[in-house]
Amino acid sequence: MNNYSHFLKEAKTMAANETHRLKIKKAITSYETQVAAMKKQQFSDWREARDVATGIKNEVLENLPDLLQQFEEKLTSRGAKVLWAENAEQARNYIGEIIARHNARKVVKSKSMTTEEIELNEYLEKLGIENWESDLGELIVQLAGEKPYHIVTPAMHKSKSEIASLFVEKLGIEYTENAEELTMAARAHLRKAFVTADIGITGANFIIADEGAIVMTENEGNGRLGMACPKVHIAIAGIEKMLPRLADLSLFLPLLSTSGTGQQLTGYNSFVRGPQSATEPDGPEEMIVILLDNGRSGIYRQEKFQHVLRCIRCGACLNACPVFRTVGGHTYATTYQGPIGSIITPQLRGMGEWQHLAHACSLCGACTEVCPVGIDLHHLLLETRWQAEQEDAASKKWHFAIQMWSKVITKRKMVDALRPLLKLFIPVVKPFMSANQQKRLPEMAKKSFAQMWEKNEFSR
Amino acid sequence: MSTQVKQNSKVSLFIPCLVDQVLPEIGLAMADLLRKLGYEISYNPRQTCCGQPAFNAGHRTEARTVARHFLQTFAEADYIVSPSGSCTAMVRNYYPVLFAKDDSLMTQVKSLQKRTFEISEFIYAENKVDQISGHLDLKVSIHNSCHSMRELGIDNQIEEIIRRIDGVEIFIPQVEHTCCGFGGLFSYKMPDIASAMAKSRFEAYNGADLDVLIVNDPGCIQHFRAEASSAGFKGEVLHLVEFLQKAMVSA
Amino acid sequence: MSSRDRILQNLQVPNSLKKESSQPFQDSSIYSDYPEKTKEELIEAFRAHFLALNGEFFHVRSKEEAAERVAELLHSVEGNRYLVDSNPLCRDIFSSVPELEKQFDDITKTSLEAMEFAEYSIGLTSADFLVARTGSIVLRSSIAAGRRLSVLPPLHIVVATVEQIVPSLDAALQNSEFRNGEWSYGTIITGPSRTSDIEKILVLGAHGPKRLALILLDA
Repeated sequence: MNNYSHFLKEAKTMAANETHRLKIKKAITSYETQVAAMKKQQFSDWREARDVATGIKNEVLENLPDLLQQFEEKLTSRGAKVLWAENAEQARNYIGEIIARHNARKVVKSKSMTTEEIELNEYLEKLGIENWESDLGELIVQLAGEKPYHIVTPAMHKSKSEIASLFVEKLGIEYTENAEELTMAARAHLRKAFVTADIGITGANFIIADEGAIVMTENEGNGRLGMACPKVHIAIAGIEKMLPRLADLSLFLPLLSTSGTGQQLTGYNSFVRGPQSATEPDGPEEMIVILLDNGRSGIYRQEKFQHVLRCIRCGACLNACPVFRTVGGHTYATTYQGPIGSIITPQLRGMGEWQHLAHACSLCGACTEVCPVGIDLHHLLLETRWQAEQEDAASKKWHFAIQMWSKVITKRKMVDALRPLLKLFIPVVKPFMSANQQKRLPEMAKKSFAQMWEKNEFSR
Repeated sequence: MSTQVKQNSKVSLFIPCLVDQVLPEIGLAMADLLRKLGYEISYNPRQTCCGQPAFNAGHRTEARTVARHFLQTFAEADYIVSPSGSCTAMVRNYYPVLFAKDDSLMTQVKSLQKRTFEISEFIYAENKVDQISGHLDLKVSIHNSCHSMRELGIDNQIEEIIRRIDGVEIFIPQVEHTCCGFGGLFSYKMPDIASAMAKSRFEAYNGADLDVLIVNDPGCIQHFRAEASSAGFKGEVLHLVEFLQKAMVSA
Repeated sequence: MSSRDRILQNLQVPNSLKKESSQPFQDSSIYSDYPEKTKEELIEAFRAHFLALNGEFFHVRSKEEAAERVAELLHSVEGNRYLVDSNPLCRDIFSSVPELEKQFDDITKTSLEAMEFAEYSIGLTSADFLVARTGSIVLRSSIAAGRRLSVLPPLHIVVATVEQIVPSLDAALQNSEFRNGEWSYGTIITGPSRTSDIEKILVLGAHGPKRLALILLDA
């Protein structure tokens, strides 16, 4: 089954899944209430904050090669290493080499979509490395053998009772639906991991050029522990995570947390600018930052799409998207779900295989409205559709139909002459359609507006 | 766009393909309303479609063909008024994308942009809200279409127009501004998602016992009507102009 | 050609982009609580935010009073191993109550493996800045004795003075003294460790400290 058929099949199942719909509705309603309140509380004008952030991110794009080199120079001057990965395989291999060099057996990971993108978990499993996801949401999906459902809220789709059963089975706890008890079970389970892991692997929410630092945003403290206890810290970051200056965080951190979770600031925002220094009592002896391209430079070179690299992965567009809410995160079968995922996945992983995602959109524009860095999301989905057609990756069947239609629709006489035929045609094709398609076959009016106008059949 | 339109100018009807072929009563109701507001109206039957179905689906070559035809049809018109936010947005926001590389057509597009209005926007730009009056004892809610709201920036204009009708009770749902699931060819390509989206949207009106859901886009109307019975929605789905036609007659 | 050079080369876009450099973000009226407030208002803003985040807030007038609060906090936890960083402010507070000081192990004099470190129930540190707008505590590894002391023990106690309160995050991040010096790690702490990963229900103490206490000393 190709990706498109898979998508349609999953979408159909999920669209009919009332339990899922109500769970997601509850989660997103709570999210929206918090976000609306926080925007109002914190910013005098949220749109102005968005515009300033957009400007800073544009500056990043304009100077990206320079900023990356500045970042590298600063960070390496404090003894950290910077590795450049052109693709996922190269990034995985870097990590494999570090593991081998340290003879490491145990890795503790904090939530990172970039590691999902390079399929690090699968790779570590193949290497036989003990690999602990430490973010609670990530732990839940790891134990369930699933992929993250949502880039910010990986276990959004799991109810308390599902998590309880999972923890009973995998962590051997007594059944409880109390969120605090479940969280404490995860805490106890992972404590050992933090203090015994050989390597901590994290992502990075931002990388800062002038400071030569990576920035990690989290609420739980698992990221902090993963960067504090193990002797080696590997951070993997997409090259677009750049900010020019440390001071820019005083806008971007509130913006990210407000859009991501409705918090004024996320619980912990840590910046790391090297391994343990000579004057410090602890910290990793080795720090490696892997800068990942993996298709990003391809997006960068396209004028129309470049600005999608402003994305700070807050997840707001997913939450706002009525299609995401209907089909859920797993239906996309991608690392990045929702509107942002539907734009970047065809670019990063191939138009032919993934262009259908650009059509999983009613063009309502809710995503664009909420984006904190002004990405023109729904228009980029339109651009993707057009690009797919130019690259001959779009559906031929639909294109043919539209070609025929465009020949007819530009001629009034033909339009009206074909009306009776269309009326006959609809009942013929109807049986081949699904119930939901049949429902919306239009019932042609007896006469077109033009015909009625001509005969003066309107009220005065 | 809040350009002030000259008083008593001629209005050319911009009848979307869906209205022309499936929902002509919306076109008639709009003509009726514009006449009541004192306009001389004209209609060029050569018009068929603005090209949006092709454009939205990514078929820009065909969209250009259809849009060029549209440009010719409306070259002479003073003011162009449409009962669809989405078709108006096509002309105003997307024609410049389609013809970005064609200087001579861009001139025409720019002139067209200034003359094309969605109906509620037009009533506003023309300061005609006060001329709307009528009476209907009905409970209604308003679905402002996504393109009308987010592409054209139409906000509570529709509500203010409806408030001119005595006896109407307007229900404001907790969840506002969510797509109905139409999205042009989207609802045919991904029918199950589109149906579920309509169902979620109707849910916002649960328990409100609406008589009428007022909508300003024929695409949404077509979709809502197709989904109403399976979503258990008992009220009528009417276009703003159809609603006003009813209200202004009964006044 | 190395991967580094290839990536950088792939990012060169001829002519379509112009090089621009904007000013660093400056605190501005984008934020609803701008402009700056009086010292008292800053303290109050910090307090309100910190309490809303479930922090435990103690405003004290003297170092003796500060020591009292620390002693009380010791009684509120299970376990009897406490760690402190030997910073001047902590020293100052302890100076009046030598008994209290004896209860703490000095992290700079104790080399701790992670396993043993995890047995401590309190970490006592100072801080660099307190941010009024968000109720956040900013600290660097150089002032909080490394990375673990402020995150591994279940109760993190911070001692700071009112002089350390700044209105906004950028006041801290643009401070050149803060940025200079040898340190590898800094963090902005906004409330105790928390998660809402299970049905959006807030739970404190996911992996980091379940409790965060601030003893704020009048200078």
